[in-house]
Amino acid sequence: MLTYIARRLAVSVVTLLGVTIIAFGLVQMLPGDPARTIAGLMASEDEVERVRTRMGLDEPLGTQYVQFLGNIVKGDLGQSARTRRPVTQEIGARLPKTIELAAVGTIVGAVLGIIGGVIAARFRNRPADHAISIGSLIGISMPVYWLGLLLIMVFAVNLGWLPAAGAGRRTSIILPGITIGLFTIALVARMTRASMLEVLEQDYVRTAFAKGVANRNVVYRHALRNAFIPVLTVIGIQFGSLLGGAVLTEFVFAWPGIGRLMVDSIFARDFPVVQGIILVFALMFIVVNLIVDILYSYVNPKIQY
Amino acid sequence: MDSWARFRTHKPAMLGAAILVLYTLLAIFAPWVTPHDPVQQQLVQSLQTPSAEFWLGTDHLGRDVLTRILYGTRISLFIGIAAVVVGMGIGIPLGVVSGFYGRATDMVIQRIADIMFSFPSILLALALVAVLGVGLNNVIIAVGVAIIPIFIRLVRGQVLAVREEAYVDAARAIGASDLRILVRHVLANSWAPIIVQATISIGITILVAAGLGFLGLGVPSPTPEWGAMLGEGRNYIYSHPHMSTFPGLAIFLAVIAFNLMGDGLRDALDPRLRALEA
Amino acid sequence: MSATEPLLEVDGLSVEFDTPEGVVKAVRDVSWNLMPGETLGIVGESGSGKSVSVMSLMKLIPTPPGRIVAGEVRFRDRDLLKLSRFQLRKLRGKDLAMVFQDPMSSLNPVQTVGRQIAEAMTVHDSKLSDNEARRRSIELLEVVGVPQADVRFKQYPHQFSGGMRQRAMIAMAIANRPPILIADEPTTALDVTIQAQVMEVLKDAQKKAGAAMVLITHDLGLIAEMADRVIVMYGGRVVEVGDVRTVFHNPQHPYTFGLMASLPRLDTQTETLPTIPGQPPSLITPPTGCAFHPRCRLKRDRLDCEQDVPPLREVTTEHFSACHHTDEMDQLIEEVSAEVGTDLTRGES
Repeated sequence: MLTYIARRLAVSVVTLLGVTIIAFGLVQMLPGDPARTIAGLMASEDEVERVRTRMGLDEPLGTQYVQFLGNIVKGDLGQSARTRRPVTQEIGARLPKTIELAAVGTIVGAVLGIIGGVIAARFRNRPADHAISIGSLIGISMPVYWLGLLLIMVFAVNLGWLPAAGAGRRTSIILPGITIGLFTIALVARMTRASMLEVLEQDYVRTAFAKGVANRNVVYRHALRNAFIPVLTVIGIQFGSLLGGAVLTEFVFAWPGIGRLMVDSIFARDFPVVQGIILVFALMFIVVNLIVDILYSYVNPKIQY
Repeated sequence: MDSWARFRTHKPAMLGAAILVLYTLLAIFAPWVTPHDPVQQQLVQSLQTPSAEFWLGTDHLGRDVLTRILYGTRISLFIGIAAVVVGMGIGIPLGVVSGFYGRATDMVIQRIADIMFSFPSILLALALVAVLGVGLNNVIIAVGVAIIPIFIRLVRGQVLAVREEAYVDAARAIGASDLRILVRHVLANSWAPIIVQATISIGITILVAAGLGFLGLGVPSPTPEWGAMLGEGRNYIYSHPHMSTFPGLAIFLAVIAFNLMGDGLRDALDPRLRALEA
Repeated sequence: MSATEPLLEVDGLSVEFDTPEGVVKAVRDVSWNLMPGETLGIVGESGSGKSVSVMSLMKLIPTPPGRIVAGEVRFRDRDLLKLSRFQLRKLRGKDLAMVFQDPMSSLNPVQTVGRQIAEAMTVHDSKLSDNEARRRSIELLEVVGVPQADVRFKQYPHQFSGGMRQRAMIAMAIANRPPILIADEPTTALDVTIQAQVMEVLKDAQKKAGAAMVLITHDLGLIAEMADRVIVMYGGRVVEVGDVRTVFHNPQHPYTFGLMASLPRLDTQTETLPTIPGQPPSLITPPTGCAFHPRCRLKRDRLDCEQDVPPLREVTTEHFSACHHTDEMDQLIEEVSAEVGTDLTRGES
């Protein structure tokens, strides 16, 4: 099991390296003078020159990348072209808000989604299943940004119950949380249902019935854990969609997280910040998937050897 | 009962197909369906609520919302489909090579897929648009690139499964070339899940592309694009919610139609027919 | 045998499945008895309805698409098919226990083998302590010949070989000393070399539990070795029933004869083995009359075979056949013997 985790860890490090190459390459791909790009449109010629020498932009690409990588390891993601503050500071100030939103989305989504999926599978082709299946189809087809706007119209504009934007109040998380949560619930419910239905047709489920195990215990003791194995993997992979949803949700609700910062920075052509956020998002994805892999080895006994 | 018959009797899939046929017809015949112009500004009639003349109201520049949605069908569906073609065009060959040759090639391609998967597709598309700049072609490329890893993974898995089959060994034994085996045997046996994935992916690309438009990083105005219309409507959400309600509904219906079709195709093409053993 | 009461009586059982292609009539009007302590073999090709007919007893077929359309299954003065889900559950694994075909897929991959054996007991005895269940499970593993039972108890199915898994399945089946054991092709999925061992274990376990056994197989050799009586099924119906020796030496149905004649024999040298021409019948649109008539040599253009379903008739004592023309069986056997140049009669007749 330790070798399994070590192997997954090694793969994650390789992936992370690849991510840094992309983040580095992205800025290289920008048309025009990279020093000018990094320094920002408002920077003076002097500043641009200083950026060029400080970041070694006159060096060959390989050297630049090594330096870029070295800086990342040191925790230096450069300087925002817009605010002149370190990128790490800009991101650090907003990251907790994004994590808050993503955590609400994942936890609510996973718990309710699994419950919904199990109910749908247990009562296959009955009204409960139809309702959950239709609901989750709607959930995955709904653009989060539209759902967000609709929620604002109803609960903030018409009813006036909840704040429409920002994160200032304790109730501020509710609407963006629902927005991102509904999508995840729908996604997880669909996966769980499909996985459960497949497991319920397996021979070992028939064995359990033949032993005289009660229906509900067959579902919860025998089927659920087996069904959970693929669902867990997909939750990990889909965490990316969740983060993507978070970017759009943050934008809709003016939620002060890094998703919104990213969009703002693209408009301001503040590429050091964009670069930093890309790295952080990828890192979050990789860490979550590493956790998923470790959980996976606990759920699936075949991994232990 | 063959796949087609199963698909035809699949009610949800038929509903999805009906929505898409309707969209296609409206997109083609838009100029005959509506008397209004999708781009021409008419400031005197701006921000009108739905009425007999403007069924879904007008936007802040006095353009008929329904007309823009109808013309937007052309843009949004085209972006969605074209992006999937881009994603498949790059993803399928990579997946085939990865699965068929294995070893180092597979390792490298899989790591690339891993890396691409580490970015949320909207984020990857955003970053690409940030670099490439806005515009129809760039949006298609950005969104298409974002879904490449989906096809790499899918096709690789298919190839790995098919590669072990006896008929591939047999083909190899009679001296068929790699390319011939790949095309004639491996791909020919993998098309069903590819079609299913492609259909569902169009739903994804429409969502992502409209998301870019919503953020103002899609096709520049005044081109009627659903996401951009929604983004413009957002500014008037307190006073004129119709501006964002209807474009969103258009996106939602298109995505749900592709998802319904995808589910139906999966049910129809699923090779694991529930065999009866007695 | 006639003196004792049957333990289980199946009467007029019919089972159908809804498929996109149409209604599959998997089991049609099947009746048989199981006597205490005996081993009853059910033989037939795949699609003959042998598995479905037995799975239906405990309602272990998926419904939908499956449907039990008619019949009664009497066990201890009760009709199993009329029991509530709760009553049926009390019976499963306690009075009727199953050993399934594929031990690779029949054990839950995420639970230890020991826990799965223990569960067979704890579901029927809520007062059984964990320790006691564990002790008995290890004992059961020893009974079925799993070495180092206390270590194996804690292992997962994927750490077991096929033969060992099937032993664990047998341990699970006999855990509650059920009066009836049902084994559905218990060795088909196993290596030829360990089939005999596992059969030995099963036989032994049956004896220790004092159970009657229903053995479903397509392997006539296994029937000859294990069973007391045999039921031959074709196209969802029972075509012949009787004592194993009687049926093997004196088959009274052309299909049974065809099955046995197509087996290679060691005692005589044969150039060609007689085969049964044609394909197994469609179960959606089964042949009218006798299901075997399109492939039968005895039909000889007679209309009764095509039109009337032959009832099971007693040919000799306790030996039943569903054929209109059993009186011509000897002639058929001689004909075929002459064709292949081997004497296919097996004495005693």
